[in-house]
Amino acid sequence: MEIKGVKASLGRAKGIVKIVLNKDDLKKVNDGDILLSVMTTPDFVHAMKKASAIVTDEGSILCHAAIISRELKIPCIVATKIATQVLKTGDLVEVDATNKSVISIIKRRQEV
Amino acid sequence: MQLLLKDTYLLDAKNVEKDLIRLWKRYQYILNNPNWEDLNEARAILYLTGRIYCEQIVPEAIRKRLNQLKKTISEIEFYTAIDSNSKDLKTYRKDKLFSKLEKLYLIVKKYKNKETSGQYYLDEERFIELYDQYRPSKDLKVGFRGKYGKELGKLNK
Repeated sequence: MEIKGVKASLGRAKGIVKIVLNKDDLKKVNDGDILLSVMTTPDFVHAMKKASAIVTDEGSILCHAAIISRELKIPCIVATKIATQVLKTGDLVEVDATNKSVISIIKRRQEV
Repeated sequence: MQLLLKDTYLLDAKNVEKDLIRLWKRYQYILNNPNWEDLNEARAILYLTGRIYCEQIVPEAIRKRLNQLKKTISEIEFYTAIDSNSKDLKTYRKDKLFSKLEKLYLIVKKYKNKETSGQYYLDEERFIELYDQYRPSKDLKVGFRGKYGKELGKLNK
């Protein structure tokens, strides 16, 4: 399955999804994770530095997530609309922000 | 807002900055001295500068002019070159139009990074608190798009 969005920073990355919906969730982001949120704010920057890619439901090419990811030189896809609803924390995905601008699910999180 | 649009069309970065600061100061003044009528003006400033101008009008203004550069570049190449401080910037900046577009983008970026009393940008949370406090009818309640909604949280748990 693929989720489409708008590429805001070029690149490709593979990693575990961490959904950030509040400030407490920011602590859960580890090095190399894919940070997924509705949209980012300046409070997110520390976690964004650890992420290998950033994906948001909202935003545009000039939104906070887009600007910071270009500064950090990590891939970013914005305006997916549904990513936080379709993906779950723990899913393994590939973010392709080169030509395609899609997030592909490689492996779903194992439900215990 | 009319002035802001005119200055954006003319790529007059200096005046765009002045217009944005004027609107931002007015917005901050209203938040510090709130009344129902002015809060609705603040709501318009919040929506027009925060949602429409920075996120839609400026990217569109830049996008439409990128094909007029001496060396055409894509939208993403333009922003990436500036944000990542690319070595190509030196070459790009030889084109006056590129420099104008870069200035406009940097002003918007600076505006988005504004903060007051430790709160960022347009301090939307405070605006919503005040709006709810002063609104005469419960039907006029506004929502916060960026707030982490309870319902959205439930979907992901």
